Amino acid sequence: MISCRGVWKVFGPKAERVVGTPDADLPRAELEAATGCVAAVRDVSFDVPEGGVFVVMGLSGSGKSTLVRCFSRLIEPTAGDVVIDGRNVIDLSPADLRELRRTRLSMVFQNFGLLPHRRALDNIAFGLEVQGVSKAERLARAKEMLDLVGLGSVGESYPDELSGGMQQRVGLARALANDPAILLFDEPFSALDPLIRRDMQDEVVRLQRELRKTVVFITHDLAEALKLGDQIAIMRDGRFVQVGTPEEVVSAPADDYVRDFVRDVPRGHVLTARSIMNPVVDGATTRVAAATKVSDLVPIVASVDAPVAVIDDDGSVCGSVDRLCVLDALADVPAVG
Amino acid sequence: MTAVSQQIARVRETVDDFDSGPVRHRRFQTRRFLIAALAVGGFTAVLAIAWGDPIPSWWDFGIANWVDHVQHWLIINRGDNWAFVDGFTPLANVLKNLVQWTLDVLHFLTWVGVLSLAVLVALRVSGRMAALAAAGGIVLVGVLQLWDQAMITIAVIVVAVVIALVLGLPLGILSVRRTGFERASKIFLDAMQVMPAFCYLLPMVLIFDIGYATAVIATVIFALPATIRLTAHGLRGVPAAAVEVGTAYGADQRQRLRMIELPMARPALLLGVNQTVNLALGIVVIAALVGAEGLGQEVLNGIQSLSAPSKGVGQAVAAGLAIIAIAIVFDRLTRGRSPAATRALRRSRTPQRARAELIGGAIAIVVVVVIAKASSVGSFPTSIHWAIERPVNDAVQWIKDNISWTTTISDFVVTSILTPMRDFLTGLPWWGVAGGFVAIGWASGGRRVATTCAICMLVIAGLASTQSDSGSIWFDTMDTLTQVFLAVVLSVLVAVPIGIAAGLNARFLALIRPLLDAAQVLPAFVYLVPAIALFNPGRFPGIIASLVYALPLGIRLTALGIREVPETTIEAARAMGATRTQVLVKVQLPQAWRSIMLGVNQTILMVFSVVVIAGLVGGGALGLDVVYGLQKGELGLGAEAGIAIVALAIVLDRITQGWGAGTRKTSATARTV
Repeated sequence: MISCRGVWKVFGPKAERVVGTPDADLPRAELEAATGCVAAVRDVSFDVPEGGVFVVMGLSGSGKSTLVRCFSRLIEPTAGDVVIDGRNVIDLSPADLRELRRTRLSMVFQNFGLLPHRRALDNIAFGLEVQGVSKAERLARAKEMLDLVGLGSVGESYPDELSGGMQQRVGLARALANDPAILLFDEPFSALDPLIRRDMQDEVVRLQRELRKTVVFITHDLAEALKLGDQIAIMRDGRFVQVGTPEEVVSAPADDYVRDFVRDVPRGHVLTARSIMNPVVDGATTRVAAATKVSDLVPIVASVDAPVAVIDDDGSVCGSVDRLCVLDALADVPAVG
Repeated sequence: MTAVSQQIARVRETVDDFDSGPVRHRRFQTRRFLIAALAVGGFTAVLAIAWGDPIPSWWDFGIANWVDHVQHWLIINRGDNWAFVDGFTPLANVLKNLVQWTLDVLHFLTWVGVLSLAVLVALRVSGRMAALAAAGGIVLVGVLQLWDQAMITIAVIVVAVVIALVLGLPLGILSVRRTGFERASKIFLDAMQVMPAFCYLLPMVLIFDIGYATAVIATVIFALPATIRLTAHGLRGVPAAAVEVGTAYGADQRQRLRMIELPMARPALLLGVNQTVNLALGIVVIAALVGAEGLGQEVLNGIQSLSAPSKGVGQAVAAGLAIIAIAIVFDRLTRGRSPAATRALRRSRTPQRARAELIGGAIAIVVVVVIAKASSVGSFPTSIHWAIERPVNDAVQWIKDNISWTTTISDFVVTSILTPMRDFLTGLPWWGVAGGFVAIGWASGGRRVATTCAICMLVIAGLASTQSDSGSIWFDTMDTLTQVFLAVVLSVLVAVPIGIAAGLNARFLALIRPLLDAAQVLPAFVYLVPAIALFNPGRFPGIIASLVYALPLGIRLTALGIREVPETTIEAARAMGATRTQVLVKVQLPQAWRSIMLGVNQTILMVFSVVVIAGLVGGGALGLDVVYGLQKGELGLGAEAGIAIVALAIVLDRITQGWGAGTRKTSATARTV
């Protein structure tokens, strides 16, 4: 698991002196005017449980790519702790850090990051080669990974002979080849066209179901964040403005900025019965699970006149929904109760 | 990598360097003008009053005497001074032995062995057409019956290039890794670029004496900057993202270098090798002055014994052709394949197959050599001889007898332009000339350039009174200045219109591009030979040769500047109803100005780099002083002439850089508006 505590990254002269002063809270332009520094990441803390998918969502310049690079110290954080497997990454020696990068975490890059002079197989085997794994062994492992991402036949091809989607599958296979506990995705699908992007997202969902890695996923695409994330953090100007489940973010935006973001989200696909339900009422004969999506509630409430009971995981009735509250939810009126 | 992308990389490199020049742009302001006039006038007045004319003896550096003393001391002490006994002499011996061993290997291989080796290497590195060209070049050398001399040249160049690569690759890597080292090396590399090759010959001769060792060291020094620069350039060209991938997967610095940076920089590194060889070949004749022997010596002998019927121009042409042949061979060996061909190849060439090719090639060479040794084909058959000397000499004679217009032109230029200009300059008091340059410097680049000009002129003045063959160093400096000036003016007048035409018309560019590519591979002195044939030895052929030598780069840079004007800018002008002429004059030329001025600047440097060779064929002046210094042991005179050439080169370099930089600011301002 990963745990971040008070991570800062400030670029500029004497950056370490900015953290902890009132200057650090200034807006970007004022901070730059006052100190010549730019704070890319400000006081970010969060935990990703083992097997969890944590999505950081923000627009360009919000600091999300800097943040993900702080985990493996590709960018050295200015302040704060990053704890992976109970060890603080910040304190690791260069050799230990390399060991961590080789075995514990892998990264998937925005522009795929494939090495053009290597065949797909050699690209996938790159991490193993760095570790000093023998040639036969690493190529066998690379073939396995290639099959896993559904690209069995392109091992001999060079990256420039592959389509964007295939290239990123190779990138994914490379990340999986070391069998890392943690996967970092840095906007991996931004460069792909929408249909391929959806395929790749499905692929990640599938692999995650099989492999249960701990994942930190960076994106600027809200739909992608809602689709993949167990937890979503909305990042703005270096700070997390809201952290929560997709449902929490959509149903209860923390501020206007987030509200603006989620305005166009098809709410029926994100909200569940639990987040829109009214208090328990008598006389409900039909029952639905609390995790039922609102879009799936529509035909049910349409077919029965009485309120519908909402059942918790343990089988007890925890609330009720009716036509009115479903319509309210779809119409973006804040849920009552 | 194709020749064109090589060229572009080369030009980019120079453009990058040029960018770091001073940025100045001033509108005319009375106050500024007064300050400048006062400063320049004051400087000139101080010179006129405190120094006076002629240059007083207290401002004579006496470098010639000093160098002669050192030389004298060295001759006496070379045998027992520790620095020589333990340092220079063993080093010289090692280098000499390396050349000798290489030569032995080449002789052992016999000509068929060398031929097959070249063909196989060319096949592996650059493909079939290149192998064919390489084979043709080697056969040509044999047919000219210059095999032994050619092998000497090849041996010197191979040793020099290997040393340059062994030193240059790590230094290039280091200059990317350590910014401090990069800054230090940039100063050194910049100086190397302005300094003509022969300048390091003098101290080399002092220390190592004439011989292979000096020739090798001089060649290494000449080629090394390109090796370092292109290595660094190649490594910098590797995307940071690719290196980050390495870091992210836990690769240490060495793994990143081996697995990512070097393979991705491969085309640029190969270009570095290619350029190193090209440069090394470019100074074979100059290297012959300090003992490289081989083909360079043949050219020298030919040029210096023009009257002998079997030698003369004919001999120089034959040796020149052989050098071109070798240049082509080396170029093809190190050119590499086009990206498309590389891509096609990497499919078919598995590691096993590559290993099989390697072993097969080695076996083939062994078999060929054994057969050659056993039979009599070991030495190139003397019956196949293209005796080009006599027909060339006959043709030269015929030209002399029947074509008079060349002499007329040559005489006209010499008597009506060069001599009056030189007489005018030497007629002026020296402080007047110095003041003039400082004023031009100020006008072009402000105080900094003016200061550089002032220092350089004072240095020249400190050398000026030394006696040379034709008078004094001052006289020779003015003589060289007029020749260089005329060569630069003529080559700009030719290069800029052709460059503009090539920039505007893609078909025309495609037409002349092979010529430009070929010209780039030819060593400088090759242009001298036809020039002498047409115009008799004298100042004019030297000018023509430097002009032709400098033309290709001038044309390229002008064309590049024109072509780099964004399509949308031109479209915008068209949309507003500008005619083609208006587009050219108001849009394209102003935007290409910087590139054109860079062309002028590079032209000057190239002309200066052949001043010595031009001096050899009758240009006389400072160039000849250097040759005398090297060949007749008058190192003092040679050293002073060398310093004067460098000082003059710096003056002209800075002045033209100032012009180019001024407009850069203008276009930068235009962009922000």
